[in-house]
Amino acid sequence: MRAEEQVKLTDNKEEKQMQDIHEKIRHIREWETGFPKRLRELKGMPKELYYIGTLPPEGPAVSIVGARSCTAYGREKAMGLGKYLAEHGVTVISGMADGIDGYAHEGAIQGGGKTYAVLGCGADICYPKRHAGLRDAIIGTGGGVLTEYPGGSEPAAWRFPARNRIISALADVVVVVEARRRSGSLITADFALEQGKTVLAFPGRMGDRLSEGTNTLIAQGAGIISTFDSVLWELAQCGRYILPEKITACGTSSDKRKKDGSGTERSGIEAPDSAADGIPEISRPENLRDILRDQIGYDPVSTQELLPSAGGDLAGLQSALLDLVLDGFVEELTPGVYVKRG
Amino acid sequence: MFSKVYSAAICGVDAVSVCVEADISYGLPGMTMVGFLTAQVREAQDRVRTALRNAGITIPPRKITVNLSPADIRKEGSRFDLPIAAALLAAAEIIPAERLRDTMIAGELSLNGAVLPVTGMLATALCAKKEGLSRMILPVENAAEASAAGEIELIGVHSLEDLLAYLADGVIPERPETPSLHRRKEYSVDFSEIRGQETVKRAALIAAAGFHNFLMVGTPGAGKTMIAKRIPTIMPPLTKEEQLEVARIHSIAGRFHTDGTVITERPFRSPHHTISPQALAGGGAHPVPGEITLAHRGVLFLDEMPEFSRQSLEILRQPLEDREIVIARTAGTFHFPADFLLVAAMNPCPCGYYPDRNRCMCSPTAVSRYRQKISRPLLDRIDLSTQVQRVTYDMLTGAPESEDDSGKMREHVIEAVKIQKERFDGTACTFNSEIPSSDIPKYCPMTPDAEALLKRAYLGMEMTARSYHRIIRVARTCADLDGEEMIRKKHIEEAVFYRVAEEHR
Repeated sequence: MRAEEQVKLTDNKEEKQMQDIHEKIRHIREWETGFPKRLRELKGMPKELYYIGTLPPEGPAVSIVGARSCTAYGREKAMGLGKYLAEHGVTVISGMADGIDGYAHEGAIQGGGKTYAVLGCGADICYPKRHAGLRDAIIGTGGGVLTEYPGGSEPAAWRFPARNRIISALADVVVVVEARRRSGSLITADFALEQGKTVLAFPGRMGDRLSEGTNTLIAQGAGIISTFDSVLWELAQCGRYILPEKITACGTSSDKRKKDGSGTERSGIEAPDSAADGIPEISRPENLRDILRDQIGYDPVSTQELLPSAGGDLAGLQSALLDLVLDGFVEELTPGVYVKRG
Repeated sequence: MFSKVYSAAICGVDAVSVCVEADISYGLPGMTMVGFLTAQVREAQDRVRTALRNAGITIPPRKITVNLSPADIRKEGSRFDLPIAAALLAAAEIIPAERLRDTMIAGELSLNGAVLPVTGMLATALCAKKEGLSRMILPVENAAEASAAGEIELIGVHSLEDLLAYLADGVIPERPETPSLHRRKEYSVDFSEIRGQETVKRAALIAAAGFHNFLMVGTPGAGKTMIAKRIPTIMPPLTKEEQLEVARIHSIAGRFHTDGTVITERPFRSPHHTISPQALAGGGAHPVPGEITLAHRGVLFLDEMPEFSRQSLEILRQPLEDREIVIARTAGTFHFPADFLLVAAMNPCPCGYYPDRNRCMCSPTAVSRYRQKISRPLLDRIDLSTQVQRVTYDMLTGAPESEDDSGKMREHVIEAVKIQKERFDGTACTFNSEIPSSDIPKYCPMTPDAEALLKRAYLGMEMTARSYHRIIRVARTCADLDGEEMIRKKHIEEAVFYRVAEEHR
């Protein structure tokens, strides 16, 4: 009898834990207030949502989607755009997947904005698991995770293409950062076009696998993002955003470009210009640092490849690289492999 | 008639003396063997009797009793064939019993009377020396190996006839030349064969100089194995005691040079990733040394480290701290030496091409899962890491960039080791990698700009206290390689460059 009681007790405990997670999940139906208007307006949208945190507000919103296995370029752009949009009061929507999605959310949180993740599983399940911290941050900063699937739904493969339609529906503009030729992000872009949303893509080089999808989108008529301002300008075109005066057309105002440099080669969101100016050069010929900054782009480059630029001086190269890493211009991706930041 | 002769049983990495007694008395003809024997030893009676008959010796049809004492030590292997034969010869009064005094005998017999070599002969010779015996009769093939023990007369025999001739008539069989143990055995590989890879070579140099465990990350075919194989060639030469220690282990494991001498240079062991934890650590009901013990004083190379089973990898943690492994079994507790330099290699991701996204399709989760196969506590015991990149065509065909060969690099290492020896005189440390964190301020003085840089790196790279200490230890070795007392800024730069990253994205 006692043993049975014990079993019951532990059962209760487990149940309670489960409940704690479930309790946080809120449920809303189409006719209730607070249900996203954008979903009501479209066909084929879920009639009810499960969410933790809050639901996306009415204001301007942009979806940022892209490859899970992205490059450093994709990472910098997704994070940079997420942050930039958040700073300009635009809601960032994405799917909390590995890669671009996660970085977009991260950027938005850094920018102090609210961000929303549309999941392909129950709202109580964190998928991928490594994004547990990100998920907490999304909810903790006033955003939320939402899904059409009830709590406890496993992240099955078929659910993900389906959730993409919600990602695009919740936004005014859909931005594709990086995508391979056959990619889930292109499904999102297709949904966006069906739903009458604007699709923008980051251009890439011909031959880069992760730019094949985005370049194809551009060839098919998607807007091209030359600076982060392009996205705001596009939002304004949809009548969802009032542009600050500085941004005139396509976000290419000349003084803007000079000021925060988001269109120029070198600096970006991650590395403020003050850092570039304020770093005292110590004992090292300045030109090696400059040469390296030119040489290290978004393509990962190894110490071995950089060694000739330093005239074979390994110690000098190590020193300059360490300096660049600590100044935030360059990131060490894996030991001895570097990419540009910002 | 009763007779006895000495032999030795292998127990872990040591030999323990065993007394082989034989008695021939009236009774029903037959042979009984007692004394905690394994099946292999028990089989000796058939081999011995047949070999003796085929050598033309007839043992009278009487009751024969053979005892191997002490009876509480387990006797294994075929090494007791020859001593049993000798004891029988003496018991049957074919040879005078006093001939066997002060003699250790070991060896296997073939049915035709030939004497076959056995393993662990160096340990056996050392045991004979310890017991104060003056002579050793052993298979002629083992003579070179056993000669390393020194100060003992070695009688190498080819066959039972040789044994009989020696014991009955004192005819010493022809002695083959035995090469000296302490000659400098040259390695068959050299660092000069490696083109490019300057950063990796430098890291290898630092690893060898400060005994820092070393991790190489790189695409398949980049040359990680090639580099690892050459690390023993730049490590300081073994002292005589260390050589003997290494030789004894390898003698028991049965690893010899082609000329029969036992291995005395720094060993290089590269177990396959399917290895079982027992094979790596040593094991069995009566433990035998594993790969980590065979790598004692040398390099243990784990290629494709994440592919090793978690259990196998975790076993390394204790020996990496204690420099030995303790294996407890019902048969007793065995201490095997395991002071090795861990050199590990891994791909950056399951496919091996990360971060080249044009080739690598691994998802970030897959990449981090792959890396997490190596646990944090194990990674904490690795001081150095570097990327190994595939060499370009120009590097392969062009003139070598540096003329560093293993010899030059080793000289460098020897200098640095000498400095360390002076520094740690009278302490428990031998190498910079062993400096306890509490002694770091004492042994690792830094210039102010070095300290400032370290602080900046500590904050900027979100280091832990543990990795901070590791960087200082490695910087200490870099400074020693330069012959500098103070750790300078460039040494910190180098140590940070080769650090083991906390977390990869």
